[in-house]
Amino acid sequence: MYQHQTLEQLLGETGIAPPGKLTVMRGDRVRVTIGFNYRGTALSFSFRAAIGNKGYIFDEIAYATKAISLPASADFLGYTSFVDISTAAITPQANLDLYAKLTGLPGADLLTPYYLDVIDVLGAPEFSGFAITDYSKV
Amino acid sequence: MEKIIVGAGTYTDVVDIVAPSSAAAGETVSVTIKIKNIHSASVYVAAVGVYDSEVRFIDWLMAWISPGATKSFSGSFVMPNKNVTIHGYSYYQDIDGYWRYDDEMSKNVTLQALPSPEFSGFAVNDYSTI
Repeated sequence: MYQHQTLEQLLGETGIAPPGKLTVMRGDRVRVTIGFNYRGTALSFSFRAAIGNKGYIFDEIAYATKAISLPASADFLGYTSFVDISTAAITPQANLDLYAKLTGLPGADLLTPYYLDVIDVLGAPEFSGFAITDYSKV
Repeated sequence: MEKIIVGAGTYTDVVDIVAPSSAAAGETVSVTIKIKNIHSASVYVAAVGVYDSEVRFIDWLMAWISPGATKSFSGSFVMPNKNVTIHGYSYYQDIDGYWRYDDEMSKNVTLQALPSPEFSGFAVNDYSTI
């Protein structure tokens, strides 16, 4: 479902929760914030978030990574983290997809759901059809 | 506060060591040693916390303690991959300026088995431009 952005969201002042749509200018950085709960031994791994197109596989156009180290805990503790993805390499287009994953875990990578059609990347400011349409005596 | 001259004898009582009874390897173990002044005058006291006679995690924290009062001295250590015994020591500063051992208490902290690494609720919370 498309979610209209507020002015603050358009200005990037507040985050948009999935599945809301974020519209950015090419070259902007998109901050992706994740949350999870963890319990177990002290653990170090990598957090990766990517913008791209989800097909049979997820074609990552732009991504960012961050190392995370968690202390040991017998109980579930909540964590948040973020990465900033540059959109400079993304050809302006609409309806890009987003996902995040944790890699370097003892087992398989852990993936978030795929968030479809949540990022629109606009090109540089551009005019077209600039012309005098008429002139008259007033 | 004026330094009180004390003679030989016991002037303090380590009345409690506040610490978890178990902790997981790698977990930060917070410890508070409570020392009571059992003398009739103020005493300048130092607290020392050590585990397994190996690691000093409360390192000569000093304070005046009024007669009958109890003061807490806190520190922490990272739980090793074994059971440990915490020792809390109190020292007092004698008339000659030397620190003398006065009292001791110990407490065991057993190694807690941890569950295998487990995640839940992993999701993107939000995204924004910066």
